[in-house]
Amino acid sequence: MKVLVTAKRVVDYNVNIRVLNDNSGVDLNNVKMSVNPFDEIAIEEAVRLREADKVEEVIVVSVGASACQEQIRTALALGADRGILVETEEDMQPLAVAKLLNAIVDKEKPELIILGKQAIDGDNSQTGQMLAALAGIAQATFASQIELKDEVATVTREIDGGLETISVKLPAVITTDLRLNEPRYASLPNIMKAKKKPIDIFTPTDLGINVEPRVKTLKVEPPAERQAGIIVETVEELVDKLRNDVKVIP
Amino acid sequence: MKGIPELKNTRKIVHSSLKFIQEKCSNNGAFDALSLDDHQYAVYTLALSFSELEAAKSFAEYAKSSSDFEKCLASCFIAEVVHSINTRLLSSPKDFGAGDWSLATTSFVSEQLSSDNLSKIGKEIIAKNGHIEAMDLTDNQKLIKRTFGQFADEVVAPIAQDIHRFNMSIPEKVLKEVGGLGCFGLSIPQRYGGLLRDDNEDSLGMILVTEELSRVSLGGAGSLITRPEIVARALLMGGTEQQKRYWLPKIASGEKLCAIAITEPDYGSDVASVQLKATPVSKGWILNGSKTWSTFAGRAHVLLTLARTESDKSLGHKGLSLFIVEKPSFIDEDFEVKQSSGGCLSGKAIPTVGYRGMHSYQLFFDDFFIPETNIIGEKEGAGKGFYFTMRGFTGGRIQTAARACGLIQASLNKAIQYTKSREVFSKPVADYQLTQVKLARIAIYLFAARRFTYAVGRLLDKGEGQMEASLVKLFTCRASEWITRDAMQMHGGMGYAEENDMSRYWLDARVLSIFEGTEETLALKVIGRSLIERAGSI
Ligand SMILES: Cc1cc2nc3c(=O)[nH]c(=O)nc-3n(C[C@H](O)[C@H](O)[C@H](O)COP(=O)(O)OP(=O)(O)OC[C@H]3O[C@@H](n4cnc5c(N)ncnc54)[C@H](O)[C@@H]3O)c2cc1C
Repeated sequence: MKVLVTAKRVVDYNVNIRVLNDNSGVDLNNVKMSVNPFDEIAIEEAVRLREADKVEEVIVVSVGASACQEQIRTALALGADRGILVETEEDMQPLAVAKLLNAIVDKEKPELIILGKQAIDGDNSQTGQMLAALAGIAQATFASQIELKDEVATVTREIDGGLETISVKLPAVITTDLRLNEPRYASLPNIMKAKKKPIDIFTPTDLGINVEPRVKTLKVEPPAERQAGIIVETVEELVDKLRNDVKVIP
Repeated sequence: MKGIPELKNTRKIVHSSLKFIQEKCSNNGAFDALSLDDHQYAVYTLALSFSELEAAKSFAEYAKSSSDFEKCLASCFIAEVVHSINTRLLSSPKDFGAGDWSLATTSFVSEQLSSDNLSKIGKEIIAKNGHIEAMDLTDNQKLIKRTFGQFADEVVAPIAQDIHRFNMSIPEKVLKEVGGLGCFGLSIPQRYGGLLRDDNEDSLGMILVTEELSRVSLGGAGSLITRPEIVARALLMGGTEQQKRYWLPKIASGEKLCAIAITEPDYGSDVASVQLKATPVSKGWILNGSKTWSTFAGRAHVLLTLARTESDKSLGHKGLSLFIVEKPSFIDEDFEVKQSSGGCLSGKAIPTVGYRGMHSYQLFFDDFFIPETNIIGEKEGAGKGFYFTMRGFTGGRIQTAARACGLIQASLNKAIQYTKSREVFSKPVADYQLTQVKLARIAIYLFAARRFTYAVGRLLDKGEGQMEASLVKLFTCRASEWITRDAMQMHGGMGYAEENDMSRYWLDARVLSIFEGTEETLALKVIGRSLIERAGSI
């Protein structure tokens, strides 16, 4: 069985995000880039499935500029077997990514596709769902546990009310939530080995997909600065402030 | 960045001073190294100045193809170097020869070092939270840096301050994980179970891992790699094939932890004079005497020990050989190993103000037997121990430069974080000009130190750079001292609190200029001497 996982290149979660002066986007100069943490969880899950002999091959895909090879290498160092880069300089939006992934799914025919539930840059949480729809296969989003048995994946999902367990027939799309696993650190020997693993490169044109953005970004602004808080001495004082100063209770 | 005339000019001033001293040390036309001691102050100052010049050179080289902000940092560093070297050397013609004062400063220097420029840089570095991703790392190197950065933050950082405050020994879990990730094999070729490709050297991996681990704890993680680095380098240079095959894989996997026992109570800087006595006996040697400051000697299974195998003292450093002393691992601050033959090795940790986690031991050898297979190079290696030690030290020095870079980065991050959140006179400390200037200077030196370290690492990979390893060690370790001091100062009282990591950085930085060659030894004996010897030919 083959598993396809994704590795989106995003600004590292530790970086202080700064908006460019002309409000056209965020500053990426000398900025540390990483694999989207939810994708890292997807990669880890796939590698664990392979280590448990439930899966034979783990393929990692990234969509974006040539620099995304760095994120593919990271996934390879974490244990994925080979990589695919869909190289494009376009501003990529969820639908376009889902279409490209669908084209890769057509090519590779994986039984399982694991993606992060969202990327920490756009926070869209759309790609996995769109991909399932385009591929016409089942989906199980926000997974906190996955079990594979006889062509069926039993997935525990984190939902607003608590946990929900569903089973989906393979092939299926699963998106990962934070608690699914704790990704390992890539060991130095594995980082060295990753150098030799193959990465195939396609363009959207190769795959016959039009990736022209459908949403135009007009302006990017930093969130308003948070005001400093105050410490109140008593509950009465708190209620008084909430009622009279902030006016959130009548 | 184009060639900066000021930098060229300062280089000239340094070179003419070197020649000036060389001439003073000439005896009947021949250079006499012994008379260098009559000019120690000048030699030391020139060595320091030269280390700054070389740092500026590698920074300028890098900045040619880097971002605008890094170009800005590089220009500022060059101005700083030009200014400080010029004032140092031009102020005392008696020591350095006469120079042309009119060249001492220029508008380039004064613009770069103005408070306007510095506070602008300071603001930018604050906005970036002190993080600047280097542009010249390969994908793999970036991955190494990121992985070990994360490991350091998640696994080591939470216990780092406790290791320091309670003088703990590094927890077994950390050692296991560091070993499991492959860190001990960084300087060992693949054919001996390590990570280095057999056909080319790559110091950068070792440097990046060291930097990241040292950023969270010098004693608790960042210095773990120093020892295998030194042992591996010495073994690779001097060991027999059989010794390499036997020891290197065990060191690479972390199965055998190492310590270095060179320094003695009476001989530290003067390594060539060490006296630990090795007497030949049937099938081996017995060691008698003492060593001191052997860091990690308790936990280690292997002590790389320099001893005198020739009774003829006039042989000096040619009478020394390097031994691999095996012992069980102990976690305690006192230990004793008794041999059935009656030999004994005991150790006792020396309490220190910082650099905690590994403990540094005094060692006493009493008729302690070592089999003949444990002398590096066996018969061939006898009398060559000094050279093998020096090869090991080159590795240790570049590794120490990386440790200093890690500490500097830690101080910068910590100072930014604190000054942003701490308000004085109703404004964050970070919003004041003086803070911005201080942070800018730290950032400038951090990037200079890092560029220099990477550049020397690459030089060593080409089989060159013995002297440069000392230069970069000298430069980075000295910088880490005033930087940890300034960063601590920005914390006010909190910087002096034992619970605050900042106080640990300050204490830890102090040791860097003492071990792996004191700054004086490096400046006078290694750098100064070789610069002056070759001054005519530059
Ligand atoms: C925490 C710590 C850990 C250490 N770990 C190890 C270890 O693992 N293994 C090991 O073998 N050693 C270790 N050392 C020892 C270290 O390498 C020595 O302390 C160092 O080499 C200096 O030797 P010394 O202490 O004998 O100083 P000395 O040689 O006595 O020097 C005293 C002072 O004189 C200066 N000096 C030296 N030569 C000259 C000169 N020609 N002219 C003018 N001034 C000069 C020195 O720079 C120094 O300032 C460690 C030391 C410390 C503090």
